[in-house]
Amino acid sequence: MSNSWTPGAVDALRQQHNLPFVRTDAQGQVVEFNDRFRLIYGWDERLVGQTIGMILPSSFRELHHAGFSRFKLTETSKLVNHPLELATICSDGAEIRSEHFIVAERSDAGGWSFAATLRPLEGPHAC
Amino acid sequence: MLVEDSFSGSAESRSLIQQMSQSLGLLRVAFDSTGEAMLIVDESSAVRWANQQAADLWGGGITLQMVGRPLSALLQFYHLDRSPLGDDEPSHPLQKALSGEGRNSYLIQALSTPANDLEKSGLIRRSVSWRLIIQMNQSFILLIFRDLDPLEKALARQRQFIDNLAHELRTPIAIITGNLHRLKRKEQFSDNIRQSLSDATAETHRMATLVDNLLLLSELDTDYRRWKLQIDDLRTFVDHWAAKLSFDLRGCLQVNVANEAVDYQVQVDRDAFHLILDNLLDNSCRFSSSKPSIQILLIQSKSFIELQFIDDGPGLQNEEQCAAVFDRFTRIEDHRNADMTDGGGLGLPLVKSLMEGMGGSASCSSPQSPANSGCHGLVVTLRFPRPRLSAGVTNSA
Repeated sequence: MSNSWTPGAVDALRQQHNLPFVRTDAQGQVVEFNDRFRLIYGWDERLVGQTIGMILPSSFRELHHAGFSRFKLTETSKLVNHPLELATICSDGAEIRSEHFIVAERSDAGGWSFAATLRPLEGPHAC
Repeated sequence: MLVEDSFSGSAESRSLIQQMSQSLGLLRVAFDSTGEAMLIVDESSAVRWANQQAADLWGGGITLQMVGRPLSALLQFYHLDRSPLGDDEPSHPLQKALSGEGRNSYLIQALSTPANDLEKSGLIRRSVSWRLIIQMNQSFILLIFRDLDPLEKALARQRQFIDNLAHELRTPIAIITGNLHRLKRKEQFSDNIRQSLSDATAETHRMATLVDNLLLLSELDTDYRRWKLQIDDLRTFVDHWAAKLSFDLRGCLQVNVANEAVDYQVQVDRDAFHLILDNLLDNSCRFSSSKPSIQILLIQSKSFIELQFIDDGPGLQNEEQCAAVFDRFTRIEDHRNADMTDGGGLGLPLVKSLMEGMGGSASCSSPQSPANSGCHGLVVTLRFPRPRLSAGVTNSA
């Protein structure tokens, strides 16, 4: 299980146009997402600037926030670079079981960027 | 998140959130650095929080993947004799946590480990402690799983030694008892020798009882006793026990109920309950100069049922003695009786351990006589928690 970050990983995910994609800044706030993400999970531009915790069930948020903050302290995580099955919250509150693949990347300026592709495992867009 | 939303835009608030976020991260690092696995489960027995040790053992290394899953889907508790522990059994940590803090040893099996990982799917022994937490009107249970430290491992070995020793002693004691009985039937012995044989028989009987009690205590200490808990009226349990007694002993006994109209439902192991009353009766007979007069009084309260076992013996002088009688191998010097075979000093400790094993408690007191001229009688109070109906117990009715 890898816990390292990979140069160019975020862009590699962004190129997978067939999968929903979302990226956050070092604070865990959403910076961008693609059309597939918008189509499947229903979120619009208002998600930009919000915490990525919005797309996780409320019971997951404590661990998510704590894990995010821990990453900033230790720069290691067992969540990155391998598929992870999690419930994902849509803009209407519905949950879609999805396979998240999270990557972390440090920019030349030293700031962290996190991105994930989400593969819906149920519903009309399941793949 | 609500905090983040409502305060967004304010630099001060952002700074506060960043500080809180950093604190969360530090806490997370601290919890993950401990050698103990920790889990918090919610009221529906689903995992709400886990540290890294817990995830490494039962969550494939990912804490986030444990959240929301039923505890029973992640791990299985076993008794120390390797028999599986049902989720509804009273000795399951989540059931025990409902009645207070505590700790016990269990064998645990990971259920989420891939089938091909044989090494990890084995049973591991952990000391598990539990505590009920109320947070924002929601109740949670914190479970902490600790590997046994060297001292506890040494204690476990010592208990195993006592267990083995008690088993080994049973056979020779049975042989000696048989031989003594055969010798007593011979007619050619003088009265002196007959007396010696009677003394030897009594001593051997005492030794056999001591070994049985030691073995039972060892089982209770190491959680090897298999409880067969039944729910029924305490009056029924007392009647069953009294029916076994000799006519003479039954004549010493009076059972009083504080309020006939209410129910006295308790959850007990009938064999253990009989052993408890046998020991209390033996204790009363031992210390009464003549035939004892014993009153069993049943009292009901909102959260427990109480059985008071009251005799008219010498009683105890002070609170220290009342506490000391529950210590193993302790005998009160004032009560040593030259005319009687000494008790093993394990009767009341056994009563206490059996009561605690069933989730209850035992205590004793000696009421002062009206003239304040000393103690009169001993009152042993057995307190049983009110039963919670669950699948792990049978209703004996």
